[in-house]
Parts: sequence; C-alpha cells; structure tokens
Amino acid sequence: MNRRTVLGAAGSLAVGTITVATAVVRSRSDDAFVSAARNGPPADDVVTEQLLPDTVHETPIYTIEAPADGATVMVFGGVHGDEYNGIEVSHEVTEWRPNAGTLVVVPETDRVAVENERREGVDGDLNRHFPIDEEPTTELARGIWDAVERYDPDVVLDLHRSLGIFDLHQRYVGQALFHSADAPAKEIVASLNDVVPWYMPAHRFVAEPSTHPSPLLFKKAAHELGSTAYLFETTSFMLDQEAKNTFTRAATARVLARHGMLEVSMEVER
Amino acid sequence: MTPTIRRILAGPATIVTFILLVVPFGLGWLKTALFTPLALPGYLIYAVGSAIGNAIAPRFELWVYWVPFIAACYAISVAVGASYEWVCEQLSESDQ
Ligand SMILES: [Zn+2]
Repeated sequence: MNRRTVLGAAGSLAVGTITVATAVVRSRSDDAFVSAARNGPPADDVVTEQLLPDTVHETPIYTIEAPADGATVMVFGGVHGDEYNGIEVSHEVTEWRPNAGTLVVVPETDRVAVENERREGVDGDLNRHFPIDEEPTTELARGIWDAVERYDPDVVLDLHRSLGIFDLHQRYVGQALFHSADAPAKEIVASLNDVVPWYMPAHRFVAEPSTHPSPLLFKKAAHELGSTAYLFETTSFMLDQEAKNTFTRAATARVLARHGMLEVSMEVER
Repeated sequence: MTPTIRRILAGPATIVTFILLVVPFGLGWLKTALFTPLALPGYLIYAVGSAIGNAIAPRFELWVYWVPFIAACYAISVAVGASYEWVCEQLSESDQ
C-alpha cells in the first residue's frame, strides 16, 4: 500500500535515508528531494541581477524568495569553467522553488572560464583568490565576495567536479562533500549515498571536514561570515555527464532540505 | 582428454570469463546508466588496478589503465579456463 506523507524538512533526511533508495538510472524521476525542490510553491519573487556589470566577468545572479521565511543559501557553479555538472545543475536550480528561505544562485561564477570551457579564467584559478581575513586578490574574486557579504548567506554550496576516487587515487579527491565544522555533512552524505548503486562501492561519497584555512571561496565564507559552507565534488572517473549531474542535483537538494528550505514528500512503501 | 595450451588460452571457459569481466564493465564505462551488478567484478579490478598504477605513476590519466585492465582480465580468465579444464580432466579420468 502506498501512503503519501508530507514531512517537515527536519525529519525528512532520516526517513529519506530509508525510503529514497534509488539507483543512478532511476534517480532522475525518483529522487524525492529533487522533486520537492522542483515542485515547491510559486516564489514570492525571482530577481536576476548582473554581477560585475560592464566587465568581462559580467554574470547573472538569481535570487529566489520562497513564500516562507528561512535560511539564505548561496549556490555557486562554474567557479571552474570546465566542471559542467556544477554549471548545468546550478542553471537548473534557478528554476527550483523552495518552500522557505532565500535561494541565491550564480551558475557561471567565472564567466570567462565557462565560455572558454577551461578550469581557469583570465587571472588563473578563481578558487585560490579568497585569502582568509584579506581582500580577495582579483577583480572577479572581489566582485563575488562583495555579493557574498551583501547576501550574508547562512549556507554556501560550491559545486565542483574531481578526478579519481578519494583514498584510492593519490592527489584526487573523488566523491566528497568538504564542509565547515558546523555542517551536518555526515547526514547529508548518508542520504546522498542512497543514490549511489551498491555495486559501485568506490563511488560512495565521503564527508570531509575542511577547517584548515586556505584561499577557497567556501572557506572564506565559513571563517569570515560564519556560514555553514560546503564544497561538493563528483568524479569523472567511470561516470558520464548525466551521472555527475544526477549526483550534483541530489546533493544540492539535500543541502537545501537539511537547511530547512524544502518540504520533502515521498511515497512510503508499507 | 588432456587440455592443450590452445584450449586453456582460448577455450570456452576462458572466453566466457573474459567476456563477463570486460563487457558489463565496459558498458557501464560508456554510459553510467548501463552499470549493473554484473559489472562489479570488472569495476573492482579496474578500481584496484588504477589505484596501484596511480600510486606508481601519478602523472597518468586514469583511462590509460584500460590496457593493464584488459591484460589482467585475460590473465584471470586463463587461470579460470585452466582450472576448468583440469576439473574436466579429473572428472573424465574418474569415469574410466
Ligand atoms: Zn573545481
């Protein structure tokens, strides 16, 4: 018997862990978190502005005001221009309709890098231009940081793509959710691993606390603004673009749910 | 019947084992949606093999391990094929 249950976001992850057991193949239609994010109530307001207008870096920033009060969450894609999962999924996220809070999305953070389909933009690797307790070191990084300070997000999520597998291949970070000390990342990763087929054990995601200061955007937000910050990595190793997008989408929806933005409804098998 | 070198290197047991190790994993590599539980043996061999290769030569991209992967799968298949022929031989001897 199928029973439709509506759960508050707080309880949803624990239940989701049990009920949202889906394979990569089917997760596009079956993932309750993604479907909650797509099918939420109409937004109070959706605003598109340009970041760094009239410069080579000009890039849109989307703000979606949900009907109810809640957290401000900033999602970044395209900090590295050849990591298409983050770019494509954050473009999709601009169409999402959370139940509560403010969702701010920058799909093509390093616009030049995205257009050139290269990791680096005009000034090199953007994710090394955010030293802690100092001015960001480039024009683009300063423009992004101004926006981050203006929105003062409770949560920052930066979407990336890696190579190889964590702990299996030296130098590579594989499938991981790096996070600030206060983040409920273990819980998010446990739920995300329901989307990873059991017969791909090396592809299970790991939650990695990332507290050592280094000039990455998510770390600066955690250290200076007290944001709960995440850097998500899915791997190219053995995975095609569709699978990388599926994992990225699933991770993003789970972060939003865990921070109270989504009401996840799911079919509970009895 | 005594197993010949040819039968061990290219007998039915050897060929079937090789196909089972390589084809399901190859399909999953081409398209992730085609990964199935059948691909698990190949998946594990590739993961472990690429980890060893990557530890020895970190500069190579991970797809280069398809060459040693194929070689390893064939070596495993020959071992399985030889065992199979040996078992068949024991059985036929005990029949006499
Ligand atoms: Zn990256």
